[in-house]
Amino acid sequence: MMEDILEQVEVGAVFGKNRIKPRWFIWKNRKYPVEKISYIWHDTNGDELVYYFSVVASANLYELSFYTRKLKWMLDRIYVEG
Amino acid sequence: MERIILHADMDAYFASVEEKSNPFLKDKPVLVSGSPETRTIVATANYEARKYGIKSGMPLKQALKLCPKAEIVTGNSAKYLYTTSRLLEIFREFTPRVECYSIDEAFLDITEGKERFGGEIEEAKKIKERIKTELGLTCSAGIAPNRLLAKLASDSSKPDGLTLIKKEDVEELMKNLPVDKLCGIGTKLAVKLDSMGIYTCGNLADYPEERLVRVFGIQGHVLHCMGRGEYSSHVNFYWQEPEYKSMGHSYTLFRDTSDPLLVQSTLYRLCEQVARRLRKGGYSGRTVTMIMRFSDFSTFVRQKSAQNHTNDACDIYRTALSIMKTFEEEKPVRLLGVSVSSLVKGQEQVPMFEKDKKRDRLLSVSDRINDKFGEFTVSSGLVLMEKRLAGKRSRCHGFIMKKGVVK
Repeated sequence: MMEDILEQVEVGAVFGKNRIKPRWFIWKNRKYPVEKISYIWHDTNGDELVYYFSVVASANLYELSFYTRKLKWMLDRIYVEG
Repeated sequence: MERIILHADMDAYFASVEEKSNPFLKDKPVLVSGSPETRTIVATANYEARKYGIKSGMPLKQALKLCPKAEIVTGNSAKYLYTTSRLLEIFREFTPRVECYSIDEAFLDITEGKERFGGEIEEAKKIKERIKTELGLTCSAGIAPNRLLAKLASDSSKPDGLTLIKKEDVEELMKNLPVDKLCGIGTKLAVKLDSMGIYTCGNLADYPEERLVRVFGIQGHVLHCMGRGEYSSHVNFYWQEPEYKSMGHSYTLFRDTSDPLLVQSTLYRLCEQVARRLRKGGYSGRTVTMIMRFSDFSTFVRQKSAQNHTNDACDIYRTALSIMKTFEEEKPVRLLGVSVSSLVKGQEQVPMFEKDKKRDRLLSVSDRINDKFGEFTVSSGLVLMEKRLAGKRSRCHGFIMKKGVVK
C-alpha cells in the first residue's frame, strides 16, 4: 500500500523538450537514483500546475510532485509492500 | 448515410492505470477504492481480483473478505482524468467526431475516415495499438451502425476485444438477446419488462408500441426502437460542449448520523460544490432535487422549484433545507445528495438591491480566490463545521482524498 510522506525533497531533473525527467532525489540525507519513470500526470493546485511522477528507485516506488510556480519538489508517497 | 460508430471502453480502467503507474502491482489482485479509513466501495477491480468474485460497486470490506491479500489503492481522479485527456487526444487524431461518454468510455464516428486505414476493423486496430503503445493500456472496441449496438459490441468481448456488428446481422442478434444486456435497461426496468412478459429484445420489438408508451410514456417509444436495435448514431464533434440538464453531488457520510449539525453542514458543502460548478459553467438553475438515504438504505428523492434561477450556494441550501424538513424519517442518515436542474446558461440576473449586489461581489471574489488557491480556501463557516464534526475524514470529498497542500 502507499504511505503518505509529504516531505520536501531535493531533486535532480532534466528539463527536456516538453518533458521533465527526475534523475535522482535526496530524502533523509540519502540519494536515490531514479531507475524508471513509470507514470507522469499533471493537475492543478488552485491555478498552480503540478506535475506528478511515479518513479522506481532502490527497488521501490516513490511518488514525486513538482510545483511549477513555487519550484518545489515534494516526496508525496512511497509504496510499501504487504 | 449509414454511420459507423466505434465505442471504446477501457478495460478495468482505474486499476490498469494504477498497475501501469506502479510496476510492483503486476500480477497482484488490485482494488481501487476510496480511502480505506472511510466506508467505501470498490471503484474498479483488476482482472486478477475479479477471479475472486470481486465486482465494481462492492463494499470494500466485502471484497477484502473474498480476497484478503488484495492490494488496495486509493483512487486518484486527477491521474485518471489526465489519462482520459491523453486518450481523447489519440481519438481526435482519427476523427473529429469524438464524444466522451464517461471517464473510461468514448464514442467515435469513424464513417468518413475508415477508408484511409483500410476499413473500420483496421482503424479500430490502429486505435487500440496507439493506446497500448502510448499509454500501456488496453481497451475493448465495438463497431456498429449506432451507439446502442456499438456499446453492446464492446461489452461482448472484454478485455482487449474487438467486435463488429453488421447491419444485416442486427435482426438475428436481437431476437434472443436478454433485454438487460442493452445499455439503459437496468435491473428495475428489466424486472418491470419481465412482469410484462418481455424477456428478450425480440419480445420488446414485437410488443405493441402504443402499450409500451402507455406504461413508460415517451420512453416507451425509445424502448420499442431499442428492441429492434435502432438508436441514435449521432456523435458530437469534440469541440461541441455537452448540454447539461442538471448538476449535482452526493456524499456517503463516514458514519450514519442523526446529528442535525453534521447533516446540515454536509448538505451546505454539497450545495457549495454544486453552485461552484454552475458558476464555472455559466449556468443557473431553478429546481433543487434532494436525495437522502437512511441507515436502512431506504432512499427518498424530492424536488422543489424556486421562483428564480440561481447559482448561489445559500439559495440552493435554503431550498434543500426546506425539502429536508419534509422528510419525516427519524433514522440516521447515510447519504446526502443535491442536484440543480431547469438550467439556463448565460442568463445572469442583475441584482437590484445593495444586499444582493454585495452578495454578488462576495461570490465573485471568493470564486477568484478559490480558483487561485484551490477549492474551499474560502468557504462558509458551515463547511468548517463539517470538518470539525467529521474530523480528518471529512477531507475525503467524494471519491478522492486531496493530498497535503503545499502553500
